[in-house]
Amino acid sequence: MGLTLSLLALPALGAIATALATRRRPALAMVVTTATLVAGLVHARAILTDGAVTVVVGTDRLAAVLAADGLAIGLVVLSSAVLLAATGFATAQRATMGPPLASFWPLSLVLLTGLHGLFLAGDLFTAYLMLEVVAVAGAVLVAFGGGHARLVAGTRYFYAELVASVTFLVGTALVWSVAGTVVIAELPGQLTGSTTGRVALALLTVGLLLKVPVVPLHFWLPAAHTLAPSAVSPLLSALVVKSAFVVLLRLWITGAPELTATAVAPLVGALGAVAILWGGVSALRATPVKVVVAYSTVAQLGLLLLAVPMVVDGSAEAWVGGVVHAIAHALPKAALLMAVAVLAHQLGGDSVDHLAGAATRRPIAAFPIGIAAVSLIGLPPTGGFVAKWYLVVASISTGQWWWAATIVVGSLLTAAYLARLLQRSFAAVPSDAASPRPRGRAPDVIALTLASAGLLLGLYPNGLLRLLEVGAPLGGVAHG
Amino acid sequence: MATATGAIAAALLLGGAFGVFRSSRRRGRLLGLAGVALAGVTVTLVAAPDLTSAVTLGAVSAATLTGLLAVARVLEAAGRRQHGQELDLQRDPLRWG
Repeated sequence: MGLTLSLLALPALGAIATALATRRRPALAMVVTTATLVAGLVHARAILTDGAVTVVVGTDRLAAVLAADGLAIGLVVLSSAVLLAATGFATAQRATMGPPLASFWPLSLVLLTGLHGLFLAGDLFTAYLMLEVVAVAGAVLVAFGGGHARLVAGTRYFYAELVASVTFLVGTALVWSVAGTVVIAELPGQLTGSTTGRVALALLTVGLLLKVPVVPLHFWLPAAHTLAPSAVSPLLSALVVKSAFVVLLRLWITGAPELTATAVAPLVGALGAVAILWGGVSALRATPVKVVVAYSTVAQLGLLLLAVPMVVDGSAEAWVGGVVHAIAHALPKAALLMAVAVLAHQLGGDSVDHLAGAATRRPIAAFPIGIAAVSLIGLPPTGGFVAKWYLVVASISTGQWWWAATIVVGSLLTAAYLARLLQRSFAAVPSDAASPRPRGRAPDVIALTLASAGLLLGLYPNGLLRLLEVGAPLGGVAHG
Repeated sequence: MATATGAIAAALLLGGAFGVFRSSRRRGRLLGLAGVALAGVTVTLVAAPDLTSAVTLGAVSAATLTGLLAVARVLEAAGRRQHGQELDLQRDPLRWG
């Protein structure tokens, strides 16, 4: 119990400490994030040995339930690792982060607390509270650094999150009135039998789809992810968008498994397919590199939703593929955003054309783009390949071959828009190019480390697959 | 009773969301947010299975939603302070960001 609670207490206390500290905030934030990462790894080892843990905090009726299974702990470790990298990146990028840097450290730790709470949430009311924490911290981090455009993007993002949260809250209240509980594991069979229960499920789903977000509810994402400061965008694209998806997955698979018989799951899959195609085409047409990456996130989120109809059909491969994709996408995406931020600063512009000659001029900063591209396209031997492999296997074994075709088309689109970045990076250095601005190598190395971690996930996936089997609703899959 | 409450809450939620996303004025957006928040608190109060739960959950929901409205006001005020005019959320910031 203590170990599970420490995953929330450590970042929460760290946020307070960094807010109150008058100096050495970056060092303090790094110590706290490292301690949280270590606690997550110890917890992973514990559940691998002893199985999933459910922690109940509070009195009987108003208790908060935390479900520490393989999925939750895997995402906790991932989020701590990505935040640690982002903290290092923010420290190294201090000169370009703008004046109110001091608020980055406590806000990022508040965000981590909310994310951990969401990954662990075993009841809907805890999930609602944590969704609010993530919304506030995320929106303020987007607007962080000021400027009209960032403020508009941050405010739009916040309003979208707020409307989604209230929709989720109304759904939660209706679930309580129908089932007499909001604990997700106690909901099977209680919601789909009544109109109020079905309305509750619909409201919860719409709220979460707006938060993920899925096309056509993605209107706030490109601006928020593009205009956020360079150390914040990786947190949003790699972690925040996954949190609502995890709640959705738990709600559908654990809370309402009887949904298999409805047409809603294929509809969610279809929305995912539209997101893959729309996001891919939009990324292909975009000029600023961060906009390309933002639409890439829209497309990759579609892949997560694509897993839903196959998971509700009982496919363990789809469950593993979706969850591995959530983790495997985070590492290269964070690396890609860091690398393009470094290159935009060093090469004097943020359009695709400004990358010309980047591989020659700043090879260490440009290299992560190549590694991240291989992983995002889903080529072996990366984590992205492992995820897509399981999703394609699931689509064939469940007879839903059209999802496999969508994955292939989505991968081709990913290859096309990322090839634009790589092609410009390897192009000849323009004759009128200014010398790159001098700076330290730390941000380049951090981006390279994250990209390499995504590669290692593909080379050695068994540890992750074993972890994801702990408490998995559909059991495990065959692996080496 | 339940149907009437549900209809009022749905109207508040939809009308509020429309105000939040479609209004180009700060006042319209904040009014929309207040409507959305009121829908949340109303349904929480009505749907709770007993009085203790209704009071506790109603209070928690009201507190969190009030906090969120305060954050919204801070963001809107920051826009006006920095640029001397209200934020226009209808314009795509990527076009001039």
